[in-house]
Amino acid sequence: MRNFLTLWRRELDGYFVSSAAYVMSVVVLAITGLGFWGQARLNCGEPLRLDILVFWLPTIWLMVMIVATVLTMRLFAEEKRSGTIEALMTAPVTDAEVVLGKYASALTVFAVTFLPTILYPLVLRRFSSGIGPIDGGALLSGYAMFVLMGAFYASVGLFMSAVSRSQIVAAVMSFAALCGIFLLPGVLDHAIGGSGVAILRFLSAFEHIQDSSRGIVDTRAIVLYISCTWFMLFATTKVLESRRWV
Amino acid sequence: MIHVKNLTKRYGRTVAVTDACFSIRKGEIVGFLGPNGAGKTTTMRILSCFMPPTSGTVTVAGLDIMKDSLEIRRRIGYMPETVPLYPEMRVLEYLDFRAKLRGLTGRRRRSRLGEVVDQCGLGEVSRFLIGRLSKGYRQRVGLADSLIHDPDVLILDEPTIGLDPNQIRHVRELIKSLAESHTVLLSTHILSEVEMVCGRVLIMSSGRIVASDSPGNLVGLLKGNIQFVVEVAGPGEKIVEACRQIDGVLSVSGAGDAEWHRLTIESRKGGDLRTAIYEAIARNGWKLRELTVVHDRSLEDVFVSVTKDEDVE
Repeated sequence: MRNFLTLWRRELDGYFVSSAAYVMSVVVLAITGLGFWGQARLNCGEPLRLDILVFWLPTIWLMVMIVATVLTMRLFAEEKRSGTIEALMTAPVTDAEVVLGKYASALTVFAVTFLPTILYPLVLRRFSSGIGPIDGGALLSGYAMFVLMGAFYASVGLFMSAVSRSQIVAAVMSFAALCGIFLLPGVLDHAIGGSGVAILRFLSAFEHIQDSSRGIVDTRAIVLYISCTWFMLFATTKVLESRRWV
Repeated sequence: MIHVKNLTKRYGRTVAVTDACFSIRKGEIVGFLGPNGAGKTTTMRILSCFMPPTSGTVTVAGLDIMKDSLEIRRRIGYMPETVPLYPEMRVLEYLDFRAKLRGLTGRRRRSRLGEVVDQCGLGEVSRFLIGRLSKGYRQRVGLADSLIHDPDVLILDEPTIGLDPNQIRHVRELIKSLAESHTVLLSTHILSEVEMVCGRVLIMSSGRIVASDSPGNLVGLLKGNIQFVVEVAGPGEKIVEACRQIDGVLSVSGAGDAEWHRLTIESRKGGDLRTAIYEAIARNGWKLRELTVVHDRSLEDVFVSVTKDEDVE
């Protein structure tokens, strides 16, 4: 546990001592903010559910994928490129501690980056006169799904970083994988017509966002994301361990 | 302290280490020599539990590297050849991080930090960013890192590469001073360093251990017969006779003009007869103007001769 905290702390310092984390936060918030503003303006005077305004911003999901990629791409790839992995793995730490420490730090920065988006509904409430009370439950379940999906995406990014030697390769692979995971099931589901292939619907990120932002807590989606995250972290640990395979 | 038995490491089809066997006793300083690509770094990486051997057994302090990897890593200080460090961290911050990973806590961590910073001469740069340090300082940070938890065993992959002569001397003294309580395995290409610091030498070539002995013995083994050249003024035959009397002399040959005789004296391997020769000459009151050893070989010759096969390839 102490090793985990030490590693988590170091990675966190790694994010915040360079300007990269700050620049990224600013850019992400600027773009999602613009998206929010655009959406709000577009629907000005129309009846519109709050969840659509906050969770259906295409920009926010693009940003989630980009942030998950950017935060995780260097975690292992950079250690391998610079050779620091040798120093790290000859210290008395387990592979799982290293994976979890890095993952937790990426997740922390992810949360910090997106935390200010919670202001959007509050801003809306403050500046629109006719709005009803905010559905706190729906907001909460929407954000819970947001965090779950972000956690899964970060674990995919971490895995890609563990299998590649260069940050760029890791970034390209994880962004491609995330786009596929995010878009493919939903798009296919629509293309086929939502009839026969039920599994596509279960995997569709659109479906999950829609349900959760309406306040529907679907345990299937929760189990899906938690188990997928667990699996990616497990796979990452195995990749790290594979160095020791004879 | 370290026992290596039939160690073999393959990378795909390439064999990096073949059937290496050696052991290192507690408190020994062992120099690890060999041409580039001989398998030294691979061996050290296996010893430090970075990667497993393909076959063979390795134990450190009685613990098996496969079964007790974590415990061994706690007892080993390993300095990789490239000295990998995080450039965005400050020196003290990095050492503190490494100390924490090694399980040092509270007061002990602080006191060890101070000690290694002093030992490695990092006081001036302790607050600098590692990325801004010169090669020599980075090297010393790496050394400090491997020392911080006061490990029983130190494995140093070319610890003095890139240092200036003063720093090399400093590091050499440091390693010597550690010898009392630590077991050290260090690889290097500087042969004079090995002769000065190490009690024993392992030479590796093409993945095999080709020699393992003290530097003195290794040199002695190779020497064969030694020749001395003397120039003496005096009665020729008597001089030759006097030299033949010296213990260890095999043959005396040579020629001279009326006054000065240039003789070549061959002795059995290992013995330095210069004093004896001088005494024999001085006893008779002859004049001496030259006394040199012709075939005094060094560790370099040993190195070249035992690793020659590789050069031919």
